[in-house]
Amino acid sequence: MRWSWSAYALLTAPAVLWSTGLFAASIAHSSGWDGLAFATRLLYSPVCHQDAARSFVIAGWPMNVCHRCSGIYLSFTVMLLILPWFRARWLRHSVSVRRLAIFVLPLLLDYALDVLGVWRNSAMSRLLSGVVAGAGLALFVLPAWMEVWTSRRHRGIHHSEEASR
Amino acid sequence: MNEFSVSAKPGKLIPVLIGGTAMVVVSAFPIINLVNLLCCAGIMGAAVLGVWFYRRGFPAGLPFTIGDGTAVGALSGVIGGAMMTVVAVVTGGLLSDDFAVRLQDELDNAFAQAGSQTADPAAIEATEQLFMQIAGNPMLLVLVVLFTLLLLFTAFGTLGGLIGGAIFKTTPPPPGAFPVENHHGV
Repeated sequence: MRWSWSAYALLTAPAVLWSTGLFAASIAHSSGWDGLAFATRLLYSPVCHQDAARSFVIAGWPMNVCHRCSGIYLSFTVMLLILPWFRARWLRHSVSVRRLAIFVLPLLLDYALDVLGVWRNSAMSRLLSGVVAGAGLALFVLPAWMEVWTSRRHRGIHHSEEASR
Repeated sequence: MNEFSVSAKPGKLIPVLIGGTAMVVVSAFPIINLVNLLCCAGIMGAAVLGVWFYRRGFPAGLPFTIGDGTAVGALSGVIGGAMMTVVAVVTGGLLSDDFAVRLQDELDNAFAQAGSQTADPAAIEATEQLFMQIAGNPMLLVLVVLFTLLLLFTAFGTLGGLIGGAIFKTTPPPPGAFPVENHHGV
């Protein structure tokens, strides 16, 4: 896999920003900035049910998203941050869609079995299944993203070489 | 220019419109929109649908790349975000006279639920004034909604397009390989 630091930054910076925002409501509330907390909760409301009973509480206030979403977003971002150091070994080939499905399976089982009454999920099971899904998504997305950007650049170089002939 | 030039690729308009419309359907209809509560899975799924339509129209032998899928997903997000803003304006009554009143009620409830008695009353008042200023200016309100929806739909649409591109990608033939005839002998 070819590597581009600019492509990496383009993917990782928004992910870090988004993950940092997960804590914004709690921190803003505890600092007395209720308006900012309200605004960030609005921003995250389309992507999560934001049930306070199913969210981590920081400084006395619930986070912007639930346990499961926190696990997904935070592990996705952490994986993005650490993957470059292992890219020679791990990222030679991107994770296949089937393997991605395996990473998402615990999350689906945790949800479905709870709905069916077979298994009573907990904050920890929701968090861990989210962490696994987010990590798998990062293993899948980062190489695919690199392929998009490096093949684009490669094609551009190829075209300019042809034009100069 | 080689035989797999960009101009040989089919137009993205129809797949992007399909993807964008699917995003609106998944986000606007009650019950169906619950799927978005799992990290915008509905928006990502709609982007994958757009990518699938785009892949269907690809000529045989032309390699389909992850980049093609990502482009369709991102554009579907832009179209979906813009369409969803129109839907929000129409169904949410963003431009109606009583919207500011409804927003005031919602703000009061939100601040009450958040236990604002612990916060600085002056800060609460300033925040409420800011929100009311936005609610009282319909164009500004629509712009804020448009910006937020474009941000979310484009980001998750791009992610969905990336996944769709990886699912449906085809490997390009090795350099110098003879083109394979299709069933029509062309």
